Amino acid sequence: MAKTVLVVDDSPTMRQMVAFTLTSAGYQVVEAGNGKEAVGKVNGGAKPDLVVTDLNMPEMDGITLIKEIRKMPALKFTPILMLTTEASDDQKKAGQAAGATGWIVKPFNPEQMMAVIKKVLPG
Amino acid sequence: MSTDLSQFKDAFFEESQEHLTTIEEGLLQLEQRPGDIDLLNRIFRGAHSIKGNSGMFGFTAVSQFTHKMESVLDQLRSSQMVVTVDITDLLLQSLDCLKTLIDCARTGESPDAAHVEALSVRLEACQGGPSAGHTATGSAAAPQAHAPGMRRYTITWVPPGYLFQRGLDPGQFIKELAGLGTLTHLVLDASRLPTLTELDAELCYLGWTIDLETVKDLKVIEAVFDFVREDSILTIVESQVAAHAAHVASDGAKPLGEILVETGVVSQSQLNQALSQQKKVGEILVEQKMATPEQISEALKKQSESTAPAKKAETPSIRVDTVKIDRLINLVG
Repeated sequence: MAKTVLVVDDSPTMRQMVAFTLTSAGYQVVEAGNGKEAVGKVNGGAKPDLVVTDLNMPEMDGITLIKEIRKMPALKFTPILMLTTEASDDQKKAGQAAGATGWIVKPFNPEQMMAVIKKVLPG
Repeated sequence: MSTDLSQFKDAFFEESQEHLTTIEEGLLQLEQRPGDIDLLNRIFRGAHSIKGNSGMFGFTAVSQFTHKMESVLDQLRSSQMVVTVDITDLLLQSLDCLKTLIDCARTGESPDAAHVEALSVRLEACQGGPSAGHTATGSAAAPQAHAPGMRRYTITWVPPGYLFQRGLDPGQFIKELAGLGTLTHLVLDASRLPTLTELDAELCYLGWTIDLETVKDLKVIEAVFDFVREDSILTIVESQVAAHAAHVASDGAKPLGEILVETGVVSQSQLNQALSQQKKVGEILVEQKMATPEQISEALKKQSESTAPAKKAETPSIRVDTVKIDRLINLVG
């Protein structure tokens, strides 16, 4: 069965690009425009095998979303990758402290993104 | 896989217009509400999105310039800098420049480099603190450096206890290493496992020692552990694969029969006679129920692997109780 990835980003363009890359690689995608929407999707029954989230977002930012996800029994051990715009150690550390699994540094090409996803998501 | 993202360029230009509008309206409102953090956050996010998205399409002039604007906005929203008329004026001028840069990205025209540079310098100059100037870096992927010849790495890894709590699976790391070459040895270290009553099922207490033969560079091996390197106990020792595989199999030890003859336990003729009727060790062990046929065939497989050139300098072995060895010697003798 195809794995489901929850893609969270307030930029529709970025969301579409990430979703397109994932569906091209055979994944199912659930999209959310910010952390609050993402929590709503999960509470509404979405069961992601992986979460890919931006950090700077309105309503609920990525760090808060990561903390919320880690509180959910069903997603406690689910890999979460954060999208960061530069190799900022502060952002990475804050994300990891919140429970993030790893990061994808923007800009990235589809191959680079899939390489990171394969690191954390069992085939 | 080659996935073409260029089809999203139109979406990028369309979305950028919205961000430009948000930034412009925000900057104009900022003059009346210089302390409005929500407003500053909104402006920052607009710039941040343009920066991130433009980089994806290789519009580096756009992403580099927006990065400088974003740095100023970041300092403003975190109160490291105070909103002044000069700064909003500079940001509005920069916004005009950004619009032009995005138009140029669309049409393929060249922007006025001197103007862009002049504004960039001013954006940098108005910031305080040394942290302001960090530059965007490229991909997270490690370069695939090629080193001549096969190398062996001995990797000792004790992951941080929180491994599972961050959605990480130690098996994934080992699989990734296996994908880089051949795992010749994998030993689990369970010595840190506490008693069952003290065990927290959500923590990782395990460690591994892994021998990996690969042509890959050390950096590639290290990159496997990117997400946990800081909190792991990790040593990666590199050594060239042993070229002296020839005397590996015997490990310097004399055959048992030779020792028995030398020590006078049996004569050479007795030994020869015994050897002539000797069953294979594996058969005897199985007959005596000292080892299972599976264990024997596994060991034989390892033995044949160990005779292949350039393999690990340790003879693979199965553990057999010394009492059983004694009984075996009695049988042979």
